[in-house]
Amino acid sequence: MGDLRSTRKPLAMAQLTMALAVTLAAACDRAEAPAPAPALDVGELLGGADTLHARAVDVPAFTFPADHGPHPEFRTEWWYWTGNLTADDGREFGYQLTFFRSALVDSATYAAAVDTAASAWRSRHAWMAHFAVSDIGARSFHHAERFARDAVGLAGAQADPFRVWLGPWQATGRDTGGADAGADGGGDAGRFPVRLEAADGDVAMDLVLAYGKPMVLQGDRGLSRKGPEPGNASYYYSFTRMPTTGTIRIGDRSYGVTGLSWLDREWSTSALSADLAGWDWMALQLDDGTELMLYRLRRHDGTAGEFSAGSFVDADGASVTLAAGDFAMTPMDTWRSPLDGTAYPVTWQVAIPRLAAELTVSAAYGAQEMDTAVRYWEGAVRIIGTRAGAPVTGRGYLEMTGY
Amino acid sequence: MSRLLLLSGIRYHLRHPLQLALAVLGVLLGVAVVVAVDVAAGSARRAFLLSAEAVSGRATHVIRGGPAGVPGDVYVRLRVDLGLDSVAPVVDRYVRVETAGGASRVLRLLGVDPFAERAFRSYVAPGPGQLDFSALLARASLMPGAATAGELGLEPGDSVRATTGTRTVTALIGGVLEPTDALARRALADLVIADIATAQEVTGFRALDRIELRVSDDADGAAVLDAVRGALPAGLELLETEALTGATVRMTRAFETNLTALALVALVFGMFLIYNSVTFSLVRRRPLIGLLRAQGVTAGGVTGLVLLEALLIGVVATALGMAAGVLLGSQLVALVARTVNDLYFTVAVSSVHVSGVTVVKGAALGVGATVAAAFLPARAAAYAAPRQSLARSTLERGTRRQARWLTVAGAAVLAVAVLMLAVPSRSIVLGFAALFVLILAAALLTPALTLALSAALRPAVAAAGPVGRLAARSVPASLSRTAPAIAALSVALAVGIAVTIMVGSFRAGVETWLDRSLQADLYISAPDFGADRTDGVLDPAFLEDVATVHGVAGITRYRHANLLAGDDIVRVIGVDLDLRHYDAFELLDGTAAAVWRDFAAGGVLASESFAWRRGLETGESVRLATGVGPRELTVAGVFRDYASEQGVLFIDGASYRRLWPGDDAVTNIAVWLADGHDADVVLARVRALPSAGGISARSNRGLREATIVVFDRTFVITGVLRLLALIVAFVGVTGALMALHLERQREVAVLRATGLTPRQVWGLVGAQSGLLGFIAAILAAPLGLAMAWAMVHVINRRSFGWSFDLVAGSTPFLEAALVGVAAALLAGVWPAWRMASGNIGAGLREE
Repeated sequence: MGDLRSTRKPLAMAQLTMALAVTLAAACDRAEAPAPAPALDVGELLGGADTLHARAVDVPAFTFPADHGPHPEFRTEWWYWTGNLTADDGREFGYQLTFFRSALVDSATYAAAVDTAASAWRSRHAWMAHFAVSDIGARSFHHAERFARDAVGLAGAQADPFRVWLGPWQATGRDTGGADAGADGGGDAGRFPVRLEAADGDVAMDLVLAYGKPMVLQGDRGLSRKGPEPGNASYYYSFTRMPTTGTIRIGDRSYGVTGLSWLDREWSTSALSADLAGWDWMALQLDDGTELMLYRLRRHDGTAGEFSAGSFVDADGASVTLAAGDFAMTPMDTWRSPLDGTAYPVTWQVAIPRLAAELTVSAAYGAQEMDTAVRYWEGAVRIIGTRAGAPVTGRGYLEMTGY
Repeated sequence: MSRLLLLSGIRYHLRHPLQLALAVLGVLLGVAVVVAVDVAAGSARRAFLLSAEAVSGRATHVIRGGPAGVPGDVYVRLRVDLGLDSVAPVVDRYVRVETAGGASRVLRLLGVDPFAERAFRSYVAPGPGQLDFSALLARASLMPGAATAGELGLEPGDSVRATTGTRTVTALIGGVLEPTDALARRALADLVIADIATAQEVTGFRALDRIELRVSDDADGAAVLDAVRGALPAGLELLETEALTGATVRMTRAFETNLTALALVALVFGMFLIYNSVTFSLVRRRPLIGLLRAQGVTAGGVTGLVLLEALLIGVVATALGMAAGVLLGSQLVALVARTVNDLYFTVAVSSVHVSGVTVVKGAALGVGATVAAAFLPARAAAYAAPRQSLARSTLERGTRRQARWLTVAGAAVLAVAVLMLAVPSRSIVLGFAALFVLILAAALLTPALTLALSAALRPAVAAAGPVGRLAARSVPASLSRTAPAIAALSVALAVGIAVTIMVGSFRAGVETWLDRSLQADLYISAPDFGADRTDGVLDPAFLEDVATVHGVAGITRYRHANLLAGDDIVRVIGVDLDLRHYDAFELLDGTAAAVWRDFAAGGVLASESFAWRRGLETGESVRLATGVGPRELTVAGVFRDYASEQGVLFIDGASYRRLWPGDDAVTNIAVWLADGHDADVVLARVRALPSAGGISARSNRGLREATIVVFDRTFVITGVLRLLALIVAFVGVTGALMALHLERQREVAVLRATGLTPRQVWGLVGAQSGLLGFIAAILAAPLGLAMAWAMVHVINRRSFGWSFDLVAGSTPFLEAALVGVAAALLAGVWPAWRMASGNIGAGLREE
């Protein structure tokens, strides 16, 4: 496996899903002899002109609940939940539950190739899901991944009633019986609570996410540009503060937990320029009731790309978009992976002059590396600093890929 | 002093290289045949296990269904509701892949879910040179291994025709798999991988053949298995993977035992040869041994040295024999594999495997047999009074005296053999042991019978003149030489007689059975590409069309299905039988009226082998895993059947549909013609139906002939082994006769000096040889008949569970007599030539 690790090109989050088929290459059993490393070039993967799938070109006119469901005409899509929770006894947890959909071929090609008497197992979409629980008190990290096809009920997504699932892992919304439950957030408040369920081995999670703040449309009213070319963008919205309750079970112990969750929804067909090595993304929930989302598209030389961006949501739910020039993320301490020696900057200095914010974002602990088919670091972080002249703290999630 | 004896032994053997060569050859051939059979059977078994392992990957358990397979939603339930991850759906069928260029091959089509594969099969891993997921999932594409692709000239993007049963579809070659590890490469030699959707579309089978599970061997694993059991609907079974492969491998157990026994016969002949060779060499060194003993060498010392000598020969011969055995085995493996494919399960043997067990077994048998065979003569030589050792006449007197004791011993051993055969056991090994004891008894009785027979034949041979008289006297006169040779030859001939009679009787039984059981006019099935498969289902449209063909009066529909019953795989056949079919069953138990009444009431008709294996009788019940859970079914009757040694169960069509609800598939039909219609003409019409596809259709006569062809093919390997045994025996006889004749060089030289012409020498040797061969042939007849009886009524019964009558004509006996005399005459050629043309003076100085 050493061979595989050293030659594998770490992929950024967007790449992660686009490369689903490739990532599966590495999914062969770890205990086995070295598997051939995927020899796909990141540039080729991302630069490949896909004219057959739909692309994110224009400012979207989202319609809900339909847009909570899948967008099969786009190549990739994800539902990305993260959150920080505290048990009744004060023990702290972080979690991640992510569902990725990836189209293997576009619908026209598929329709031409597949028989009308196709097997029920036939599908053109593959799904991957990641589940992680950071047991911060114990400094232990549980994570798992699953794969499935979008057929016979093994995996899939639907808008109403909301459900996205892969095997036993799932997120389900309230069944509104088709009725739109109000104007707030496009009627989303009525579709809450959302329940997240996942388990792997000794670890299980069952959370109920309530409606906290309206949906935030990222980028230009939901169009999030990732590169200079038209269509090199994604559709992107978030729920940045969802009060969460539930249970986390680790081994024989069950913890009643409360806290805050975050959802990122994004779909696209091509999203990253070839000159980028990866990205660093953070979702920060501050104790003053505001949230910050920042991503830094990282060039091969380590500098931030010009399409890095972010958003700030005030306590009332009003949001502003942050451009690359509006913020600076500076890596500080690193944590070194025991698996392959990769150094991840787990402490960041964040400066946003426009918001008069100076924050130190640091991992709750270092060992939150996802040892999945494509390896990356994603974990709970703690925030301390000042905003608008007042001290502020908070908790959040940090993802770093491409190291 | 003892070194002197050892050196003398070495010198002796080096000076008589031909004798040495024959001794070595005897053991060599014996070991070679045993090793060859082991290698051939072992390679076939290993090929199967490897492919089973490669195919089932690292699965620890499987979920199997009845004939209709496992519904896909069971898999979804395990994954989604139970949340299992190490679980994989599999469609596993045979498919004929035909290229645009016309090349075609039957391959195992393994339909898998690549997303579920990582815990199971390493070669179903995506990546360069491996699986292209888009190509595999999003369209109907097949992925052969690189070797298969090369053989068929296939490249990615090519389209092929894929046939299963009567169904042919077009599929794309989505890629070529080039796994790096040897096991996967081997597995892929016979596999073509496809996504489960493709496999379902190609085969038309919309369920799963099995679900594989991988669970840990601990409490967690047990909990998972409990949960799985709880989630399984009736009719599905959770089994250990090994139980399934074990059941398959066990099918060939009896077959392998029979091959091994035949091989051991060859080794027994090898022992004769060693015995003979050691005895002869000791006779030649009698004076030296006498001298040594007179000077104080102990009897134990002499025995030890002789055994050491034998050991050296044994080691060399065994080593050579094992090498020869591996070579021979690589030839036999094709024969073994063909029979396994004809009768048991599909296996492709791509490499010859020599296991450590084979090596140890071959070595132990070779060296052990050599030392054992040398033991008696060594002791005899060592314990003879030193003075006596110097005289040849003493030896022969001793042999004659021994003959009496040997006769007594022989009679006792014969009684043991009879007892062993009479024991009501089911052990195949005991049966073969009895057979070997029988052979031993015959060998022990040979000296006395030789004396008696040569006395009886003397007047006839003596009539040929002085040479004839000389010859007639020489056989009993040198009994220590002639008896082992006659014993070896007669046993070889007897084995020939026995095998011929057994195969002939079996064949006659099969022919009678075919006459009786094939009563319809045409037999049609969807082609199955393996003896153990019942995948092929006849198209309902075809079934409708057949009924409308001109000349067709009626159709009987059969549903063949393989089920696991206990540890065995049995074939269950659901069919609506009416009066006209009853005659086709030769009932072995119960009265016809009661049997058919019970059958119609839901009982099963069990084949003789099935009933034998389980010790079942009419009225008892058999437990079967059915589509509605385990059921006890009454055995309505037992019928004669040679179709499957695993056993066949017939069950009434209505009962079948009740036990396997929803399975209305038809795998075979029998077609009855209206009077006055020619089977071949109607057959052509049926084949010409547009819905016929790739059906396999035969007339009554055609099926009969095809069955006999498979039968004969099955016994090809028996014939080969018999021939090998005869060759070993022939070498043994040659050696014995040569020893006999060479020993008498001086005598012949004296005769020649006193006027015997070279021509008369030829006559003398010829008469001696012929007499020997004739005596062997006479002795072979009763032994052969007895062995044939044991093979038919004990070995076959216990091995395969079926019975048939012993049918023995005179032909095998006459053949044996001819072969015996011819072999003996041939063996005399070289000694005769040597004595006839040799230097008389040198001959006189001999000894």
